[in-house]
Amino acid sequence: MSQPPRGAEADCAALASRVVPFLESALGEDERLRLERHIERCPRCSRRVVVERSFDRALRARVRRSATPEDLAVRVRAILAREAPTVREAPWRWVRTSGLAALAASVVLALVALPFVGGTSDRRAVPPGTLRTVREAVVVDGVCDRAGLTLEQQRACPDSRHLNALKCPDGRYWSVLLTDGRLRTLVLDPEVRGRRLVVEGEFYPAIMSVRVERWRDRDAADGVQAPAILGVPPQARVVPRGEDLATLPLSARREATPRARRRDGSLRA
Amino acid sequence: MTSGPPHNRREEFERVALPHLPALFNFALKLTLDPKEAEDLVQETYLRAFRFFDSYAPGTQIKAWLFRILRNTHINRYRAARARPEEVDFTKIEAGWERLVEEDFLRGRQPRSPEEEALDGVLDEEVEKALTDLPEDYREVVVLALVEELSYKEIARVLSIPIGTVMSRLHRGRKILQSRLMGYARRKGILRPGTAVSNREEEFR
Repeated sequence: MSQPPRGAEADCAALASRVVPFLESALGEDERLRLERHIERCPRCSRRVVVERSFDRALRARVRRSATPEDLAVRVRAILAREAPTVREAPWRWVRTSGLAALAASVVLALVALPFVGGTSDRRAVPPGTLRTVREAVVVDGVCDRAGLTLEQQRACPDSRHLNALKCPDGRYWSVLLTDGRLRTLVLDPEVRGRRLVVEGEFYPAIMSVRVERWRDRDAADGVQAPAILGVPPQARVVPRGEDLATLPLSARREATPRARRRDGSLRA
Repeated sequence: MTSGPPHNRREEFERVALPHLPALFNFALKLTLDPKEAEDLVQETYLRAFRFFDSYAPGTQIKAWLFRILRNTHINRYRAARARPEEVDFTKIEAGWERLVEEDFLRGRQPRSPEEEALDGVLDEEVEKALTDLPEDYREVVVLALVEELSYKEIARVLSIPIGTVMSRLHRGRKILQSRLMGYARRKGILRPGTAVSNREEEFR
């Protein structure tokens, strides 16, 4: 074969332009067979395939992904969470709109949900709750009370991770969703443990939590005190027992612990 | 605790889409060539993908679907404001490459084994630079094909171009890389036969 057979040059050209799919076995059966036969007879193309394959392997080995910024996943998730806070009917969706409570809520919701929902810290949607009025709900330390400690001991509990819960006549503990900054005393302050309240709000049995709408001290129910209303801005003053919890500042003892300081600070921010 | 599609939508989305974050970021970086813009692009991509999540058919390649959204977002954001794609003289590049093959052939050099590193002596930065220097049309095809190992069909869908165009762009993009990278490798090889010449790099910058 002194002269390349007619059509060989066409095959050389075909291989030159189709070498990538050839290497990747992405050609049709006919074309692949034709080119393979050609390569066997054509040293130049045979050489080309060796060089190309070598380059292909080297290139694949050398082109790499660039490193992803570490916090990008966190930011993406935050964007998604903002887009779909939980679900439309989720009770705490409007937490976002309350600037004061937003930060605290993100911390507290997880804490609130965690002990009572069986270990999930994710803010999931819950089935719609029912609007109820509970005539006697005792503010307790959700953890200590379960452990059988007295209310006095609960008030002295130094563990700032323990949140207050409402112990209702059904004997169950209902967490208070921190949907409003003014509820922070009710949720966080150990001093208010033992107070008996009349609570009106939406109760979510699935997460044993209540979104408090209105509440007042039960002991003040017989007209001694005006019913507490959530619209009262919190003030830093000492309030005697029986007065609106919404106006109570977090106790000094609680503020003295670093954790509580941080928590309180973020509330004020 | 609760179940049902609407409740778990975000969770489901994160489960299937977030694992592709490194791939998406890399692709975004190769498109924008700017880390900050790439991050923005990725974030917007995830947001849009989440909004369109209902239109994603479960079971299909979600990676390709995400790439497609990212790439469309990129075009909407940047390409409108940009000049025409760079022109490349392929006749020159092809000719240069042919000459390399020809030289080898005529000199009767022993073909190097396929396992042998064809890019011996070429630095990682040089590979990276050659890739980012590619015109965008070729760069995106090369990244999807060689880094992400998408099929031609998937690439065609990501970029909304025919498969034939995918193949020709990949071919040309690869040729550009070859002429540049194997040019490095060859010259280094000639200076110090058989070995990489790391101390002479400056000559090839």
